Amino acid sequence: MERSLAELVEGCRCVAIIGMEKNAGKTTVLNQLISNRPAVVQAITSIGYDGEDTDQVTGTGKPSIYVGCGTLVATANGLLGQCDFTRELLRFTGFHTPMGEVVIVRALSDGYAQIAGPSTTVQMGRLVDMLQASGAEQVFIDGAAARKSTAAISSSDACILATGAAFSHDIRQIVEQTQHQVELLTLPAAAKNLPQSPYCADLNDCLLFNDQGEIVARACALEENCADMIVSQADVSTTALFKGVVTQKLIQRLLDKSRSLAWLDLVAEDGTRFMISSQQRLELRRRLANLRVIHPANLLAVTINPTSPSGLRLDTNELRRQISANISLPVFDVMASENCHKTNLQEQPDA
Amino acid sequence: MHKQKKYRAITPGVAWLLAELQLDSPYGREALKNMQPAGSANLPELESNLDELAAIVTAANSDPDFLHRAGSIFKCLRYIGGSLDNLEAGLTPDETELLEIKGFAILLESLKKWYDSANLQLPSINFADLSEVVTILNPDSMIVSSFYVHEAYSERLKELRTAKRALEQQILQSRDQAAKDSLRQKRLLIVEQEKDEECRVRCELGKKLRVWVADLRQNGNMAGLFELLLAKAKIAVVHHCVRPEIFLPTAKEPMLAINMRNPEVEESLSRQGKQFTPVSIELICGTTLLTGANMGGKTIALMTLAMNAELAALGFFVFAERFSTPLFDFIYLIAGDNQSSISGLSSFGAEIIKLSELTTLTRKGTGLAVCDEFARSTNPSEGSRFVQALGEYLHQSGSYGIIATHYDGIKITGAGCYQVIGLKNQASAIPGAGQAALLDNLCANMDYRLVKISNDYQVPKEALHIASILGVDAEFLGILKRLYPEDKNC
Repeated sequence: MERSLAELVEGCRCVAIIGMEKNAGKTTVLNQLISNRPAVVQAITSIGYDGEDTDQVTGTGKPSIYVGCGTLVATANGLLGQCDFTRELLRFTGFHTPMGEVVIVRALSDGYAQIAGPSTTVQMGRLVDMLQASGAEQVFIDGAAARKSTAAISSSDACILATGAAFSHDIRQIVEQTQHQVELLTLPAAAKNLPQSPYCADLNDCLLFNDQGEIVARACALEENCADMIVSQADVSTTALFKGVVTQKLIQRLLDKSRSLAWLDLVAEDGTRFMISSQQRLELRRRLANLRVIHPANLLAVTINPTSPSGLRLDTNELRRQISANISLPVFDVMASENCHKTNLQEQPDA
Repeated sequence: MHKQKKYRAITPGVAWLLAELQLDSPYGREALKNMQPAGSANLPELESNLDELAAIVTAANSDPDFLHRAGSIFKCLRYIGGSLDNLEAGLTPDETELLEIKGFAILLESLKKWYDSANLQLPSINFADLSEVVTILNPDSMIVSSFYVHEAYSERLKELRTAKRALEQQILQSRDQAAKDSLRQKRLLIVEQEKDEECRVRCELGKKLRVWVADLRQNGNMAGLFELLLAKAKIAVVHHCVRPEIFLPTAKEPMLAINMRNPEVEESLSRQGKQFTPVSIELICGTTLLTGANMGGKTIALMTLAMNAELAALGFFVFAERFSTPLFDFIYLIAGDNQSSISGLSSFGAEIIKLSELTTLTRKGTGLAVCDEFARSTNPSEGSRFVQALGEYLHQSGSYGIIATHYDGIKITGAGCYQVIGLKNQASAIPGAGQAALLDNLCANMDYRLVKISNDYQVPKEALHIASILGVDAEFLGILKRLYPEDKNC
């Protein structure tokens, strides 16, 4: 029998839920994961603050996060008033958001939570440590849209990708883009022989290494000559390491200026740093360029939300069938499992 | 906390040292910001501060871990001034403010306990007892650092929460969506009542805490002063500093500095595997002239003297074997190149502006004036007159002045005179050496100590020798040597 989402994340100490788009069903997924009254102490936080979550007047049915008694919640001081569970304030974190400092609280009853957390990678890593030090055995990070989820991915040991009708009304497009995102998130790890020094590099640096792991050139990845510099190494086995993002513009210039790229490894910190189109990714593959990452994400599953904020509901089975056909990960319909989950609860009166 | 202008170090050495101070709590940093040098009217207060510092240094010398024992407390302290302001203004504290005050009170209680057990009995450090504040915010017998609006505060709160939890169980177990929605509505009503009751409890807590605001503030300030004292003691212990001997300037006794060191220069030298040469000097009330070879350390000697005088006034131990100083009303430097194209000042112009400031200060009190190669950027014949005039002026001003100069013929009756011992005679150039090796060779051949000389001294002529050791171009050296009298042995 197929394993449930909750079963999939069992044993993971920190799970990030990242969305292809807002309204992709992240919160529903999060609710399903935390409402099972598990044996372990769970904690939740968020990358920044998804302000639209409060916009419940539009009636798009965006769910609030409903935490169980005992859950640890890291949220901004200014949002505590909007949380309705009885709580014990455990500690300050020293991380400030526009809604105030992030504090760690323990829910002493069930109730609705509004969460806002830090948005930088370093702070999120430290917050996860603090939550674990406060007793959390499993931390969930509500990870915002994929491209902003670097902080979530680097702090977690597993992640779930949420996609659906919010992203597009065209099933073909959803499938194509989801597959693209999955491919990027699951890019393999770069060879281990990259020297340590690049980690001190500037945010937008692109460093070129030869076979021996020696730096042969360095440029700013956002400048036009960066692609030229990479191409000037043509036919000599080269690794281009990007500290920040890899842009569409740079990749296009690279594709325009060279034919075979079999000599080139493009390496970024993680898959979310490749801000390239799916056509470019396919073209890079066709020309034999290798895309690699320093921190590969452990992508456990893809969830789909067939309902868009405008109310349109796609054919769930078709969407699920097509996505499953194109990626080799478990795919969950969050709305279906929502119902299934409710039934489960009914069958467990002492849950 | 007083809103004073942040203290700005006069000498580079003190600026460096203040930046090196490890102050982890916002109160410690505030205490540093509010630090002011003692003037001649504050001698008893300064002596009392130095007594306190001496007591901590003694404790630290007998127990190496002493200075670090309270470190974790200072690291955890948060600035709670905002919460206290709100409390004082009569606002109902929110739960994070209460968590903040509780955490602060618990930490201050541990600090007080540790301070009492250390038996230092420092007159200026006096922690109020905050155990009542902890009790107010921690109704349970076990003290925990977290805070919540405890049911012990209100029977009604207890009832509401029991009812809320019962409804939450029912929601979880309910099979029917309509019944679930109705239960949720009921729960929402209770949530509102719970919030109201929590607010009432917080309001009551605010009233109880309001009477403690002054004590909470006092303890914050005390924690800051104490942390600053511990940081000063750490500097004293690590750098083997001594307590300065301080007297009133009215005594007009000489200022005495034996084997002074400069920690900033010392650290930079030690990175290059070199050692700092301690310098000694006695400064009379009036003018002292300092001459010596280029690269002989005159500037460092002046800055080290001024740094130690400034540290003494700030209640620090000093970097010397012995340091006896008047408590100055001011310390003033005319040193470095203050040329500024923005304000339209040349080096000379900037010096004259500073000179005017100095003369104003000397009329108001007794100070230490440190002048490094005054009037060096004007023509030598006029420059030496400026130096002569400055020397004469300072000599009769009642202040203590030291002037480093290369000018010949400065004669001030009664002035003290010092000279850098300078280059050893055998010093010679290393042909073909790189810049670092040339410098190392010069340093190895330079005696940076100061020696007292008579009033009718000759300014040492070592520029040519030093230039040759620093590997000046041979052709240039040939031309230069032709310009020296033949009897000069270079």
